[in-house]
Amino acid sequence: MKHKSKIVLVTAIGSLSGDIVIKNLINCGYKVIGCDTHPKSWIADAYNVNKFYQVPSSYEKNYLEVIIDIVQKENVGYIIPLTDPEIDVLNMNRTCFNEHVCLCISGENTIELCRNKLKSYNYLSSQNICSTIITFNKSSINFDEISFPVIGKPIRGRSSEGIMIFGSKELLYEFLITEKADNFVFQPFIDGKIITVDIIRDAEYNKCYTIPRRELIRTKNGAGTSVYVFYDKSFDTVCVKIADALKVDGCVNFEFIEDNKTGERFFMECNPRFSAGVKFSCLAGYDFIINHLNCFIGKQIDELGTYDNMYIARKYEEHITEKQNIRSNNQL
Amino acid sequence: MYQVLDKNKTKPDEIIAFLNSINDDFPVPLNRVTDIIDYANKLLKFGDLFFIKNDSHIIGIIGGYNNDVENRIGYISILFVLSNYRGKGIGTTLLETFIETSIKQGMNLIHVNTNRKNEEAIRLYKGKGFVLRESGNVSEYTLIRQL
Repeated sequence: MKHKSKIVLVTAIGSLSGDIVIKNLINCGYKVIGCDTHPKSWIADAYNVNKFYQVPSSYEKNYLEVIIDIVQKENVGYIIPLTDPEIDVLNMNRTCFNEHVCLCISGENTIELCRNKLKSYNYLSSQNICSTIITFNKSSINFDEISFPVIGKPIRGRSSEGIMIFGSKELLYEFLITEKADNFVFQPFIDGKIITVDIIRDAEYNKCYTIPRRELIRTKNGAGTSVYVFYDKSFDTVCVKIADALKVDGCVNFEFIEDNKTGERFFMECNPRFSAGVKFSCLAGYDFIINHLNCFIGKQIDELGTYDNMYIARKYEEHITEKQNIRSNNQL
Repeated sequence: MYQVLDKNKTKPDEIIAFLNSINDDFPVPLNRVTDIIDYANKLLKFGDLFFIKNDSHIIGIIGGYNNDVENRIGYISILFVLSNYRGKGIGTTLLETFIETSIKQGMNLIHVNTNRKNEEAIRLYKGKGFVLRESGNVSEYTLIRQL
């Protein structure tokens, strides 16, 4: 019996990538069930999906149970999670879905490798395919090998949350004696510009395409709002090698930092999900959303044609999601 | 004469075990390219999969996709026969079964990528009407057959 459902559950639709994910899926004839931790009236895109569910945070015990309920109730065929913590939970509970639904994320080991910054560093630095930033954890930190300032990042962080900068050995020592430091990695601070790469890989068809962009203006959460999309053949080759080494499936995004002094591009991380700015790459000419889904159902992904280098700026739009006529209620 | 079985006659674990057992026989081991469990599950869910057994052991397998109904293009993702059983027509039988399935499912074209050094496979495909095309990849050819 072949899998036939064209119903997609997109989680965390309040995320920046939610809008383009929903639009492209609906344009392609998919029925989209959306969910988010916030109430419907707080999420503009909750009105653009076929059905919306408010769900607990993925940190809550009943998150998985609620997602499974939605999947069963709505006959969901595919799940596309948009945030890292949800990916962590779903990745660890794949067997709950295997029989019923296609979880559209990379393989279990790939997710673990991408989500753990120390494992990513150890693995990729051993592959010699890209420049990596020397990374330590609390127990391995070597003060002779690391220059200050030092940047501390949660080992399984999300959206630049919890990042700390230590200007001196003393400040870092002070932090290292805390329990919190157990869940951090430490790297030398590099002054540079962020480059995000949307990348799609289909191992079965041996296809892999990338669209990089320089993030010109970024929010504190690390989302680019003004970007420069460009093409660079040698950089594409490096990114494809990384994707192959990580055994990426579908669309993910890489973040690099380009050293202001040397111009060297250091791999920072692979986020195993759509980037917040995946719409930039879609505007540049490649539908990463539908092709991501195609990677999981055996359909060949589109070729990436040539595209122009371009500046793209994002603007926000306001929507009234719910009106409450309090004045007339009071008059009654 | 070997009997061709379809995916309903197997369980994911059996396919996964078989793929693991032949992992190192590919020019690039399968597990270096993809997660074998996910790969097997994807083929079972969305693809067409046929295999031949001898004494309850899988000795040959073919799998791919005939679900691109918009473009009507089928794809062979894997064709493998255990080395002891090669030269007995098992690969041909599996390939013929897959082609028939592609035709039944309305595909107009079928294609496969194969390692440039895999002369045995190239000969097999050519023998069944496939034509060689440059794939744009230095290590692979694409073979295409109109249906």
